[in-house]
Amino acid sequence: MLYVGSKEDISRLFHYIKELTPPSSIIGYKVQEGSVVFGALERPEELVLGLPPRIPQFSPKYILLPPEHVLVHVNRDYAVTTKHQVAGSIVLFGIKPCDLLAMRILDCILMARHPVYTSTRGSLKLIVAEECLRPLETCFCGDVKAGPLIEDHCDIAYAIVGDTVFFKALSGAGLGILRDLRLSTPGEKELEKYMEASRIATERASGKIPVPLALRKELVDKTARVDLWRDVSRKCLACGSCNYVCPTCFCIELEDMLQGDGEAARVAKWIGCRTYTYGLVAGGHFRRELYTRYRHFVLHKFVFYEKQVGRTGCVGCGRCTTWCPAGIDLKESLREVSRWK
Amino acid sequence: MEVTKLFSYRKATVLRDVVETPDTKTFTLAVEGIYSAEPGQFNMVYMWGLGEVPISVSGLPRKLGDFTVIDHTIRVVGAVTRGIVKSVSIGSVLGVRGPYGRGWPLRESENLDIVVVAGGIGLAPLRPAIQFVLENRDKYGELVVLYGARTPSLLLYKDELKGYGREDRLRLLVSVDMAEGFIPDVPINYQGFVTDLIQHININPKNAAAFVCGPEVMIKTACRKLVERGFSKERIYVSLERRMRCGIGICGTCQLGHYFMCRDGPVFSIQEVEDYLAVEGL
Repeated sequence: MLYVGSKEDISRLFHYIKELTPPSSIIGYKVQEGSVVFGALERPEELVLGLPPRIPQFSPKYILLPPEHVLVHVNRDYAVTTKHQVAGSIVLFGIKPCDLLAMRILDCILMARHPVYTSTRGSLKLIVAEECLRPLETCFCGDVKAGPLIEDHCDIAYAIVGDTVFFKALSGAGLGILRDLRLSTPGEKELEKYMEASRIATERASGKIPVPLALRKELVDKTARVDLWRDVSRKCLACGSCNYVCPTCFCIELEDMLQGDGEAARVAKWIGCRTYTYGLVAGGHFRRELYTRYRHFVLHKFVFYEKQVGRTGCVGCGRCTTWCPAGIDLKESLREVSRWK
Repeated sequence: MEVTKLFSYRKATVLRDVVETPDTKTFTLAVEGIYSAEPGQFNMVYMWGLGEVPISVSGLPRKLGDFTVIDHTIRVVGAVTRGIVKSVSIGSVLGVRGPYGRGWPLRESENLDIVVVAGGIGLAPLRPAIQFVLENRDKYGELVVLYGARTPSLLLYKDELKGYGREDRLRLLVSVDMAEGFIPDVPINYQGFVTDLIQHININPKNAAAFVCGPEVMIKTACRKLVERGFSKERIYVSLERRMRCGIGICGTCQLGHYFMCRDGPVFSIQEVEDYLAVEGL
């Protein structure tokens, strides 16, 4: 069901959700000290409407699978307790289509297996997402069928076209809320305006990487081409930024951290496959050379995820490219793979 | 919460520790209640405050009163294994969670001859498979065990190897790369690589399954020679090693191609992994 309103109605929607009982913390993108972060929102004025000039380095992964988190506490008798606080109920507000898909991909890997992810994910009560009608130059969600529009997997989606805002109800709960807000239904002209903006957005977010199906075959065929992988990885610094900002990268290292109370915390920390220690074991190293780790990142996203979760693991958000200190463009790497003879 | 159970430990009290080689010990652990593990599966073994290591179950679990007894053969390679081998002794308590992964396909291999090819500590995950065949002798054909180590003193389970000579329908061939140092009371048949022994297997490869474990270069050579010898790729199984942290497929660090080694492996038919193993550093 499509409704139409103004930016003021986004604020009304925010207030409506804020007053729901039991209360939820509303989490989304907001500006903090000059940069866009992912955190608790108190007022609708804090919302970042539309995409900021650069795709934020944060994503829902930041709260679902935080950079460092305690899985369990273990006492000297090997008895396990959990102390991670269940956050109460959570509403995500203003997340993007790429974020929605990334969460579904993480669900396939972590749900019912990872204690912190499972509990935080379970406390998500409502998701309000924003369609990206002005995709960035780095966005290629259209190529991997992640966006820029939203058809399902959230409760409400909104889209901003000039001063007009379109609201889609995508669940029963979402429909109930939008009805309560007494929004109007769009007229033919408004509808046309939305359709046109959608078409342009989809076009803008597509055609930037080789077609995934053909790309997968190229990647499989060229997996052992060491010269190719050395070439595409030549600028890589192995810093792991791409891994940390990637909304679907989930690799973690597990360590013991002794606590003051005589317990050991089993701590999980993000680890990136591009970094030097990925594949390092006490007795050797399974991916000693940088090109092999670079290749793992690319093959995992575009080949292996397909077999692990049933679809490409890249959501086309462009975060890895935006936040690479060496200026490596994943899209260009993929095109180079295709071109390589 | 239910998911937390995946990270819960069972207390495992050390009943016995046997020095196998200068840097390797076999710990016999008692866990309360029933504990079962298929040959080839592994546990995450946790030394409190230090960390966890993935260690294959190296003996068939057996009941002992209200306890189940399991074996873990551990070699010093890093901080945690060093901590365990150097400081854990009889009466010490470790934590174990598991068993994890897919073990040797013993059920699918019934009525076949079984060829075991092991290098160094690679015999550890194969030991319960050998024990299983010996305990279910009528269900399997010939059992051939090819076992190699760098030097005689690095052979594992020396007492048991001696006993294999007395078993019916079991042929043990032992190789060492260098016949130097302490020579145990184990018949050593060959000096050179264990994979050289594959050509001497005296069975029909069309009616056999091969279980291989050892260093990855040895595994690759063994598989090539087994194929040359006439074994079919669907019946050559290998147990592989990667960096494992969680045991349940969430830490991501044990991936080989699209497989999570801990969940989909560590045992694979060579057909499943040959394309991946052919690529260096995949």
